[in-house]
Amino acid sequence: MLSMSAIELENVSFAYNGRPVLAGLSLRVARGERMALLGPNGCGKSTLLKLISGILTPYAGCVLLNGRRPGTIPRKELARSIAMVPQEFVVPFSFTVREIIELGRTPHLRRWGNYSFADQRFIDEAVEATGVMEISHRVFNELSGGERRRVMIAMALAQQPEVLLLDEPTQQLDISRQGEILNLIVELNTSRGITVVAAIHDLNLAARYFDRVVILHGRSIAADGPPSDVLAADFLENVYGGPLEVREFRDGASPVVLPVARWAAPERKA
Amino acid sequence: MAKHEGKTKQIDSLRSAESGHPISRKKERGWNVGFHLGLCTLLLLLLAAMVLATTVGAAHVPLKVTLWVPLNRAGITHVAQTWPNSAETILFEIRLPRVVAASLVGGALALAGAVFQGLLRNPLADPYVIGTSGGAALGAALGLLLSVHFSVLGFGVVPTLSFAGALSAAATAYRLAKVGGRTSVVTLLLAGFALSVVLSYSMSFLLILNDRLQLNLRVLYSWLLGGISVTNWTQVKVIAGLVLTAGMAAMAFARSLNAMSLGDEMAEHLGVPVERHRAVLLALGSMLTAAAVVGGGLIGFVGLIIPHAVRLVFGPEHSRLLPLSAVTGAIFLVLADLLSRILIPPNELPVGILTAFLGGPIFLYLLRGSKQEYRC
Repeated sequence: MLSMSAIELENVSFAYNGRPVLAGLSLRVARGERMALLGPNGCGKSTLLKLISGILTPYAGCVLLNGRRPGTIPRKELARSIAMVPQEFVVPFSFTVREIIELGRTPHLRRWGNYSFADQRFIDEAVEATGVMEISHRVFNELSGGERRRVMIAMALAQQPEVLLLDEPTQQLDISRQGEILNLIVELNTSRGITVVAAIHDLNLAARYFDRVVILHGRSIAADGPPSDVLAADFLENVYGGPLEVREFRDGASPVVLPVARWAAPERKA
Repeated sequence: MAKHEGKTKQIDSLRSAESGHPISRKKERGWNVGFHLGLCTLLLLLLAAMVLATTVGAAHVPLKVTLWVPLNRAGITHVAQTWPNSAETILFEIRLPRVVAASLVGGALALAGAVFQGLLRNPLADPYVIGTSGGAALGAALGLLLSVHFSVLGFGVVPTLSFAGALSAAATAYRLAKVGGRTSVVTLLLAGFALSVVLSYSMSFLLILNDRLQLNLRVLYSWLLGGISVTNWTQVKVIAGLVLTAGMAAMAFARSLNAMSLGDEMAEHLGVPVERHRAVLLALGSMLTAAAVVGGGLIGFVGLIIPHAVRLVFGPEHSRLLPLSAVTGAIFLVLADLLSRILIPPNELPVGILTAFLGGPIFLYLLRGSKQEYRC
């Protein structure tokens, strides 16, 4: 039977220079799913994303994308179905926003070919979907963090991926920009059916914007399910190694996790 | 989900209202001249520069000779000869090969510079950055010191050995930087630098050991400063073959260079097999540099500043940057070589001095003139 999962990891193990990071990890992500990858610092979230995208190869077990190993697919073909939004990239030259987004078409271009009308259309569409129209002629390096993140997502969209991987998409953004970026990601997932896997630091953002959360701990998956099931105080305390409290959000939609304050909160004035 | 979409739209309208950026299509980087217009203008300028450089010189050659002789010789026109034979010989056998060689060397250096800057993600990179200069210098010194005489494809001992030296140095730097099947850009830069220093000092050491130091120093010095030494069409053909082949091949990798500007991992995510394309581009860049060394010794500055100047006007996108840099480098070196011939007759100035004198101020002017802070 053909596997219906967009991403499938079977007993995957990986080590950097003999230091094991992941061991015997198995995970399935269905097409069109929106999944957040959580876990303490250094638990292997980025490594897992790189294993999925084929930048790294597991030393044991196997990764399958639509039933095929990334290693057996030519890089260019792979890049047409899977796109990555890294935490940040440094551009040594002053590419404009439009030029950066155009780079997303790289896997679709022939060596001497120029951008076709279809290419232009996908670029325009990516520009529009991410709302970067009015900054499209500015220099990428001079944008704010939130604007840059939007452009990076636009570039990934121009790749026309089936799977979108994001590494800490909200890092170093203020709270409103975090919301903007995550709303954008949710919209791309729901309206276009793009499978989304995002490594995220913030438990509360993950709970609010994702319907499946996976917690990496102890080199493997410690919990997997909807946020309301996974985010339980004693389990999280064990994973993160510190006192935490979980509160129900008023509408009951998503739990809120906070560290326990060592001092009592100041009395509210009546 | 309607809730989410509604919110996104609301936030978007809020953003555009408060950000205050006028929605305009105006480009905000440098001058942004169109690519095709720019390329045509530059090609015409190159032609004009080459006509000028072949016409002007110590011996008087009428302009009509410059215009008709190459066309007659190419069999395109058949204009009756109304000029002395000497004028035709000076033009076609002495000046024209040199001018064509200067354009090829200038184009090769600027192109190699653009390739290395993109490949190594370093605005300070130049064609000699991975050790080619040291290798070429050592090769040239060996050529002068060994009392052997041979010629390969019309080139003497010094150009041949410096070509070999440049290529071997680049190959060695690449081998040194390759660890476990991967090369890091920083290791490559450091290996190239260290290798270049070691090779240059080996050259100095060889010279010190030699008795005929006085004799060789001047020749070697002018080689190190650079100067177009091509004297006949056979040599031009060899250089043209190398430069055009490697140049066209390098331009085919322009999009890979764009992706590699974002870093190795990002380039992989965009579908570029980084390690393989890097090896190919390093080989092509070194080939271009070595071809330039054969034609003109170690001419500095062209490969460093021309790509930057082109980027300031046309932007950093490599499928535009590479051809435009090549043509601009050709124009620049044709003019610099002309000046080196006519400034202090009957002597010739090493062209490297002129590329520095001319290039520096022009580059600084462009730097000041660009509307924003320069970030290459």
